[in-house]
Parts: sequence; C-alpha cells; structure tokens
Amino acid sequence: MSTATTARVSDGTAVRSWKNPIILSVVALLALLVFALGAPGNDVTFRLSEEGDPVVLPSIVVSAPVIGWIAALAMLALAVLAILRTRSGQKVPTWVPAVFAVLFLIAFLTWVVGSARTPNVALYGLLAGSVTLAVPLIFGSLSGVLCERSGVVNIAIEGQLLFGAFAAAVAASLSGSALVGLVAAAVAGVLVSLVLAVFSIRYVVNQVIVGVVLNVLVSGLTGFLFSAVLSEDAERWNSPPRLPVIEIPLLADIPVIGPILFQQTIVGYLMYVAVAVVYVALYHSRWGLRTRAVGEHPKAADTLGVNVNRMRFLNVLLAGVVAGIGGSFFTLVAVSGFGRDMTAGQGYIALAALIFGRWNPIGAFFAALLFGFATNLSNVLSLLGTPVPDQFLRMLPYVVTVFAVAGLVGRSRAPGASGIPYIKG
Amino acid sequence: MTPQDDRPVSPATGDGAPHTRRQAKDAARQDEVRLENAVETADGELPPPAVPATAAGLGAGPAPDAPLLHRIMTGNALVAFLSVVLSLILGGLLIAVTDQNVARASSYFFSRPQDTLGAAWTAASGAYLALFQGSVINFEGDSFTRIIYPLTQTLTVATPLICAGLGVALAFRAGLFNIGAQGQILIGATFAGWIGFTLHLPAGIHLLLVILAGMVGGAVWAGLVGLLKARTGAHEVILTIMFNYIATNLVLYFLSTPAFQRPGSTNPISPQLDATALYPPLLGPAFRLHWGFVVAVLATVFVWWLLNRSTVGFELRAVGANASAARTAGVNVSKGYILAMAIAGALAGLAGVAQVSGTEKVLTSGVAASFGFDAITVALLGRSSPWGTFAAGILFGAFRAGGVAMQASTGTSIDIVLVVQSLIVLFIAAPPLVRALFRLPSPGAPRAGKGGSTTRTPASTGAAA
Amino acid sequence: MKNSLRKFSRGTGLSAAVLGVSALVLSGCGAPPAEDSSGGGASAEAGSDYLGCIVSDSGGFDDRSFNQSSYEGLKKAETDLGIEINQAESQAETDFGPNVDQMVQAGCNLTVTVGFLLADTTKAAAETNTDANFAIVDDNSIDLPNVKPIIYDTAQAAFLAGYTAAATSETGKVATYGGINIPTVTIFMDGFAEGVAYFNEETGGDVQLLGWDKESQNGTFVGNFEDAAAGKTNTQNFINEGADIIMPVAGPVGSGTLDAVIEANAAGKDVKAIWVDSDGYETAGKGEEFILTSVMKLMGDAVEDVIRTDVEGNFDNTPYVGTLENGGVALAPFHDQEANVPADLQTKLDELKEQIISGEITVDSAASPE
Repeated sequence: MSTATTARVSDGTAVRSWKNPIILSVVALLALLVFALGAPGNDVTFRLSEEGDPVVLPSIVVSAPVIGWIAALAMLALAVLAILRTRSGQKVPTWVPAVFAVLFLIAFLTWVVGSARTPNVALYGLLAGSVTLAVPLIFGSLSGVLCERSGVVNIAIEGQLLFGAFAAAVAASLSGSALVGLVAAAVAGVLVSLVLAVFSIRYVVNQVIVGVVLNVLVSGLTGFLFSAVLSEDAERWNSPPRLPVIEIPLLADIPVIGPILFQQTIVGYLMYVAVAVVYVALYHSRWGLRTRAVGEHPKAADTLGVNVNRMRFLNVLLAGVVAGIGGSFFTLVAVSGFGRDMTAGQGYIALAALIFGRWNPIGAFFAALLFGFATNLSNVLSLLGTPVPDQFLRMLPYVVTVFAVAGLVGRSRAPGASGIPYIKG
Repeated sequence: MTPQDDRPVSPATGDGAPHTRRQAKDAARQDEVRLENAVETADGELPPPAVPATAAGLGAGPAPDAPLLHRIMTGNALVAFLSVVLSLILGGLLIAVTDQNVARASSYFFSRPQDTLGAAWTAASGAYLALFQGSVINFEGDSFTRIIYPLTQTLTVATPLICAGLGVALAFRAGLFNIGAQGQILIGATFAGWIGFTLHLPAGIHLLLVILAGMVGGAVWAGLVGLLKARTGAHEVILTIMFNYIATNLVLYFLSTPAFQRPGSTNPISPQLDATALYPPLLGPAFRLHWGFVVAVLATVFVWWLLNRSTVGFELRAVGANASAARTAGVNVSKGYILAMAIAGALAGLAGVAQVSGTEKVLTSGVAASFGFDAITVALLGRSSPWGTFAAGILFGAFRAGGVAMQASTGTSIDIVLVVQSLIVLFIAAPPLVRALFRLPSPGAPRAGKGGSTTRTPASTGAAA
Repeated sequence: MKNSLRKFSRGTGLSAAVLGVSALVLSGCGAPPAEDSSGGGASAEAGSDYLGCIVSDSGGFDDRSFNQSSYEGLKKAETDLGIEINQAESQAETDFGPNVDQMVQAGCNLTVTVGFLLADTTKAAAETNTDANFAIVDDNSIDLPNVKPIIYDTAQAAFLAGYTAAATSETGKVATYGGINIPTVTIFMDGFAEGVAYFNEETGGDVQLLGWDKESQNGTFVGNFEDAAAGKTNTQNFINEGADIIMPVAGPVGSGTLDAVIEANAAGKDVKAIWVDSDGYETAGKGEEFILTSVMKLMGDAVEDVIRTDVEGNFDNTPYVGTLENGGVALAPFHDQEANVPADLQTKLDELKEQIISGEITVDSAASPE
C-alpha cells in the first residue's frame, strides 16, 4: 500500500541513489563520535550462560573503547566503499548494509551497556526475552502476509490479536484446558477476519476503514465484557491455565540459542512451523502462486479461471486463524488472565514488521525479532541503570519502527493490487 | 430543488444555453464531474481508477426523478438512520445479555419467561434512557439549568471531536489515512498548555497565542509525517500510529521536568492555565460549554471553504483521487501531502486547545482521552465532508456525554458506547448490508462481487503506480 | 479440497451451534425463586439516608490497587454503617468533571475522589458545594474546610520491606520496578531503597538494588498499569541479573512478576516477590507461597474511618496520614515464608518500626507527605 514512485531517468543513465552511501557515512561518523571518542572507560561483560546450564560458556569481556574504535573504523571503511561504488555507477552490494548494521549493533550495545551503572548484561536473557516478545508480532505479521499478498489490507491485526487473547482466556478458564483456549483463539481470529472479508470483499468497503473500525469495535467489546463479566467473577471467567513449556531434549542444551529457541510452549513451536509453512506454500505451491497472482494481477488471474474474490475470502479467514493463535500467546503463555487492551498496539507493530520485511514471511520474521529486541533492550537498559530517562527508552521500539519504515525500507513495493477491491466485469 | 429553479435565468439565447436555474445547476455539476474525470484520467491518457478515492460513499443514490416514496426507501438518509437503529439494537442486546438481573432470571427462564424478558428490557432501556438523559434533556432536573445541562455537555464534548474529526476528514480527502490524531492533539495541547501556564499576558492576546501554539504543535507533529511520506514513501498509517506512541511518551517526559510541574510537587500535572488563557464560557459559568465550540464551527466553515472553494483544496482532492494523474496534471503531490497533513494536524491541535483551555484547564498525559481515535470514526461517519463531520461529531459527543451519565447511574460500562459507535460506522459503510437486512429496495445499482457493479466506494490511498 | 473443507466446517459449525443452543436451553430450566424475594430491601439501620460516593481515576475499580481498595472501603462502610453508596468509574481524565458533578447532583454527603489527578476537580466542586464533604486519596494539595486529604507515608513500610529483602537475599541483589514514574509509585521505591541502604550501613553488607536509583529518581518503569507481560519480562530480566527478591509497584502488572517468580522457582531458582498495596498472600490470587511480605497501604480502612467520622458528624479537614504508628501503612505478615525470616530479623524489624515511629529513624522520600 505504500506509494511507489518511478525513478526519474535522465538521458538514459542508470539512477545513482546517493541516499544509501550518505546514510552510511553519517551514521559511521556518528559512531566515531559517540562510540569511539565517547566510549565509556570500562570493560563490558556479556554473559552467555548461567551456572546451572549443561554447557557453561565463558563470558565475553570486552573493553568498550577498543570495540568502539574498531567498529567505528570498520563502519567508516564500509561507508567509503559504498561512496566509491556509487560514484562509479555500480550498485552497492547487499552485504555492505547488512555487515554495517551488525557492526552498529555491536558497537551500540557495548557503548550503552558500558555507560550503565552495571556494565554487565545477561546476553542470553536479552535474546531470549526478545524472541518471547516477538512471538505475537510474528503471528500478526504472518497474518498480514496472508492477507496482503492476496490483495486485502489487514489493519485489523490488532483486533484479531486482542479478540484471540480474550477468547483464549475465557474458553480456557471455563473449560479448564489451555488447548481449548487455543482453539477458541483461532475461532475468534476467524470471526474478526470474517467481518473484514465480508465488508471489504462482498460489500466493497474501504479495507483500511474496516480494519480501523474493527480494532475499535473489538477493543470496546472486550473491554465491555471484561468489566461486565470477567471482573465480576475472575475465578470463573478469567483464570486460564497456562500452556506448559516443552523442552526439546538435546537441542535445548545448546548454549545460548538452545534455551532461546527450543524451550517454548506449543504456541512458540507453532510459530516456527507457521513461518516455514507459509514461506514454502507462498513460493513453492500452487496455492501460493494463485494467491500471489490474485494479489498482483487479479484480472489476469481471473481470466485464467481463478475465482479472485473467493481466494481472497479464504486467505483472509486463514489469516484470522494465524492471528488468533498469536493472540492466545498473551493469555495462555505470557500472563494468566485477560486485561483491558492488553495487546497495547502490538498489532500495529506487526503491520510495520510486515512492511519492513517486504511482505515476505522470512523478512517479517526477522523484522519482528528486531522490534522484540528493541523493546527488550530498553527494558534491560533501564534496569542496568542508564542515564537516559525511562520515557525515552520506552520510545525506542517505536522510533526504530519509524526509522525502519521510513529510512531503511524506502519505497518498498506492496503487492500490486493490495487494497483495491476486485470487481468482476 | 425549489420552484424558483424553474424560473428562466437569462433570456433564451438559442440552443445549448441553460434556460432555467435547474438546468444551470445541472450544467455546473456536469462541468465539475467532467473536470474531476479529467484529473482522474489525466485528460483521457490513463484509464479511470477502479474506484474513486474520495470520501466514503453511501452508494449511488436514487435518481432525482424517481417518485418520492422510492427516493425515501432507497435514499442514503434512511440507510444512515437504520444503521443507527440497528447498532442501538445490537448494543441493547449486549447490555441485556451481560446484565446481572437477566443472568439471574434466565436460570429459570422456562418457568417464568417474563422475568427474563422484563429484566432484559429494563436493562437495555434503562441504559439507553440514561444515555439520552445524559446527552440531551434531563427530565428530572430541578431547574432549567439542570434540564438543558446535558445538551450543553454534548456540545462541549463534541468540540474536540469535531476539530480532530475535521483533521482526519481533510487528510482522507487528500488520500491520507491520518490515524495520528491522538498524538497531534497531545502535542498541540502541550504547546498550547505551556504558553498558557508559563507566559502571563493580557486577555485576548494570551488566548490567541495559546490557540496559535496549539495549531502549530499539531501541524508540526503531523507535517513531519507528511514530510516523511513525501520524501521516503513510507506508509502514513504506520508512521502516524508510531508517532502516537512517541507523543504519549514525550508528553510523559515533559511532565516529569520541573518546567511542566507545579512548584513544590513532582506529580505529572502542569500548573493550571492562566485565566486569560482559557476559553470564556459560552453560556455563563453554570455550564461547561465554552467558546471553543464557536471555534469548532468556524473550523468547519474553513474546511468547507478550503475543500470546495479554494485552489489548494481542489489540488488536495485531486491528489486524493489519483495521485499519479494529479502529478501528471502538474500538481505538486509532495507539497500536497505535507500541506494536507500539516493542516490536519493544526485542526487536531485545535482539539488539544479545546481540552487544555476549555474543559480541563491543565495539562496531563491523559488530556486527550481517546479523542484522537474517536475522531477517526467521526470522520468516517461524516463521509469526510465538513458538515457531515460536524454532525457526526455532535452525535458522538452525545454518546460520550450520555455514556458517562449512563455509567454513573446504571453502572453499564462506557465501552458499550464504543461498540455502538463502531457498529454504526460499519453499517453506514456497507449500505447494501443494511438494505438486505431490512429488505429495502436498492436504488438500481447491483452489489459487487458477482456480476458487474457500479457501486462507488472509496479505494485505498496511494495504491496506484 | 475446498468443497470438503466447506463440508467439514459446516459440519463442525452446525454441531457447535447445536451444542451451544442446547447448553443455553438447559440452563433455562432452573426453578424460579419465591415470589416476593425480588425487590430491594430497605436498610433498617440508622444513617440509611446518608449517601457515600466515590469517583475513581482512570484506573477503574478493578485495578487491584488503590481505586479498588478505596472502593472496598466504601462497600465495607455500606455494610457496617448501613449507608447508601454510589460510585462513578472514570474511563479517562475528561470524565472527572462530569463524574464528580454527577455525584454532587445525586446528593452525596461525602464524595471520595481517588488520586492527585482529581485534585483540581475536587477543589472546584468543594468550593461550589460548601455543604457537601469531600475526601481525596493520595493528594495533599487542597486546603478547604470540607475536604479531607487521605495520604500515606508509604515509605515507612517500604523501608521495612527493603531491610527484610536485603537481610534475606541470598544473592545480594534485590530489585523493584514501577508502573509510571509518579510520586505515589516512587514513594514505595524510595522507601525500599532506604531500607536496603540502612541494612548495608548497619551490617557492612553490599546488597544491590536494581531498577531504581534514588539519587537520579530514574529506574525501570513499564509505562502503564496494564501490561502484565511487560512486568513478567522485566522480572525475568531482573532474575537473569541475579536478583532474588522483586517488588513490583505497578498494580495489576505485578501479576506478571508472580508468573515469572513461579516459573523461576519451578526451574529450581529460589526467587521471591514482595507485593504492594494489599496483603498479596490474600489478594494476589497465585504464587502466594513465594510472596515474602507486602507493603500494605490500608486504604479501605482509612476510607471507612473517614466515612464513619462524617456519619457521626465529626468531619474535619485535617489530613489523615497513614503511618506505621496508626496502622495506615504496615508490613504484611510472612505467612508461608515465615521459615525464611529468622527470629532475630523479626525482632530487628519490630525495633526498626519503633524507631521510625519515634522519629529516631527518618525515612525520607521526595514523594513523602510533609
């Protein structure tokens, strides 16, 4: 849905986009100033595992100034490389910004932990928490992929997550089984996306409008039911049992990544499965081909015999299942009980992850991880004691999102027919 | 159409010239349509867009020559009215279903059904009666002041809704989805409030400066989004939502600094605004209605003039209809985006001024309540037209004012108001659904999806190219 | 496949609908109550023409924190004193004015308003309605004959909690975090920090406090009082950094801390929590066995007391300050954790309490009432 403008071509030469090299240079200079020259004087410890773990890794102890200087100089080198390549009209290779980003991350982490009162951080905890926080985001953005790839804008991810969380809490609480809650969450997500599908496909109402209104409707509905029913008798209606954490025997013992990736609940494992399945299905299956066709060139797909609107309808419902399960994460895994508006805007961040990930399930996965990392980093920083006021730390994930969507992604191309209702004839 | 329309407008000048006022009006309208089509299709070079991107439409209306009854039965006003009725019915069902008395009575439903039905009726009608009494007329008031107080409350609450709704509506017209009204109201309120409690100027100047500061604050916050969209092509829905969260945290930060706190206290609440910085009450001190309402009316007039009578407005509407066609026709689309967002932000800033200078008289982090999000539903209900937004703002102001009273007297949670509001917008946006439910005849345009359709509904923005 | 999918979904949908409908039908088959049981019974006690009211702030009465406790105090007054009550729950700050106005219109004898955000509205209402009485919780800025501030020197009880935590911690690290950086929250954290510091001073220990720095008045905050998952993540981060006692000062967000503590204990770590506002052992709903103690702010009792004095006609506007001395704030009993608190520590705590009451020890917080 973002605007894609055509690059102005003058006298036949290729477009030289100076945007990337300029950004790289500016950031590299900033890094030199802040991370190298302004490095705190102490050593930073990154703990990789705890004492009780099967495999105990030694902590990484680095000197903040050393890391600052090395990283800043390396970033400068990369920026120079980018400038030279652009000047000679060649494309900047894609590994350059990727390596640059990694260097920046390392330098930033070292600097910011080093400036804290306790320059000692549990890296494994930081990463584990990031993955946990990213789970609903990943589900939400997968739901967005399914919808938008077939040409329907899904702003209602927030509503789907919230209703899924609500249904999971109530159903699990009433039945005493978390699995029942999981199924109920999926159904709830389908209900929300049913409304989206009916209004936007059948009645050709603007999809963004339906999405926004659905979010308000779900918020009001769950809020109303929360105060009218759940709060009155919380034990009966709002005490869902939690999903147990399932450890995969050998894999969970791998240091650092083991506890992060292989000690999840069923929702977490479903997440991995979902990402893989959606990716494979979207790019390597007939369904995926038709979906993408319907999203890019609905008229062509129609002439080839694909029922455009039915395809969109079913995909939107499927997206509801995915988002609903993501919503169950809030009440069956994270905390044990529904709270008013507990999704706190994460549906919108999932949408941003979708756009940042270029409507690609793997890209969205990593984008969501980045946002989870930004959020958890701000939490960890505040407890380590940085001089940055806590309100600015809390802005971090949102500012990162803005930069991601505006600066780094640039003019990304949405699926061609995304947002445009298909009217036959 | 009045009888005067049939009077000749000029002496008959031969074929083709309009002979009556009605014909002149028709010709003018046709000219306008032709102009818009020219813009949309870049004078015939581009195919017309699948659906035009202007304000949410209620579907093609009935032909003006159809018999009166047919026009009423298929007209948009009836659909709008029925949408409201249907939403109220659904809301009433929800209230009844969750009521304690109904729950108790339903356990012996088959033995004595009238208890359940009676309790359900009492619950729903009680809630709605309280809603009405809190928003329009309070029959049980003991003085004239008390009796009309609810109506003044409605107008008071409607003031920020109208201003922010106008901001959202204007952006819609330019093809931008401005979900950021909440943040714009907050920043506008912050600027306005700071001027209000920091500077001490004489009456008149102080208030003017406060209003100006509020508009500047909102304009800057929204203009930034417009700038980012114009320069980088980023999606304004995401940007505005993120800016909302950033604004909330920013205001919280400001309120933790001494410059924004009361002397001797570290509570995140600003000093009270000077009396010279407040909107004077409109009907006297017994009511909370203030001159901000007049400002809201003026803003509506301004937006109407801007959109319908000014070149700038025409360009914004062109950008909203088809950005690439507009660009081809010579309109500076980037400037259009930035300008549209800036003006929208200024209007939202006015809502912030209404809050700090009108009702709350102090700056806190919650000064914007949920008006930024309500404004979106207001603009949608008002079909993004200035006077429609005004009317929708009044309606939702009534719901909100009545909702507070309803909650206080019957204990029904105010969230039900949100549910009813969203349902109204949903039903209004899908007239065929309402028509199907009430078995109304359609005005001649068949539905989309199966066999051909000419239903005109809004498209998403910027999807072109 | 689509067709069979359709059939499947139709089949399950149909059976689900049948189940649902039959459940509803069955639930309606109960026996009706006796004919004259419905209808409100008139309260026969004296004082039943007294109307006590409460207006909450935007947290709502189900915030499991000060709105709820104050509301419960009012309800207790209803049963104990036989008065009528009325309440208005504010959803947003813009509702404050209309809600207080509603209460005044309804003829409330005493209107309790909760929180400093309601101060301006309460003051204006009190000035216009001089024959009605008001009481405001957690704010001491109003000086009018018909307004009684109800405030708490919570730092005193938090001091005791901090000392207890420092003394019982096995890792030498304790932690706290808040909902929003406002005085009613930071007063807990300041007191807690002072208790830890006092322990270190007295015994030469080096217990660290994570999540709050009293000097810079900066620390870890969730940003709201709703997001329990964030509370859980914060607590997990604290546990990763070595803290074994965590005090959440964030209302319902604290339930996330309890979740994290329960999980940590299940994984073999010995982690405890300290609850705030009420006795967590009674009210928290889970993880009671891991709650070491609570910093109690007995708002319900204070509200009931103020109503009682007004019913008896002895209303006055001197601020009620809850302290250790009058029991307005207190350290909760240790319940299941009794075994972990050695006898000499318990005696020491009693001593400290006396010293605070007598003024020998002053617990000092920027947020303390004067």
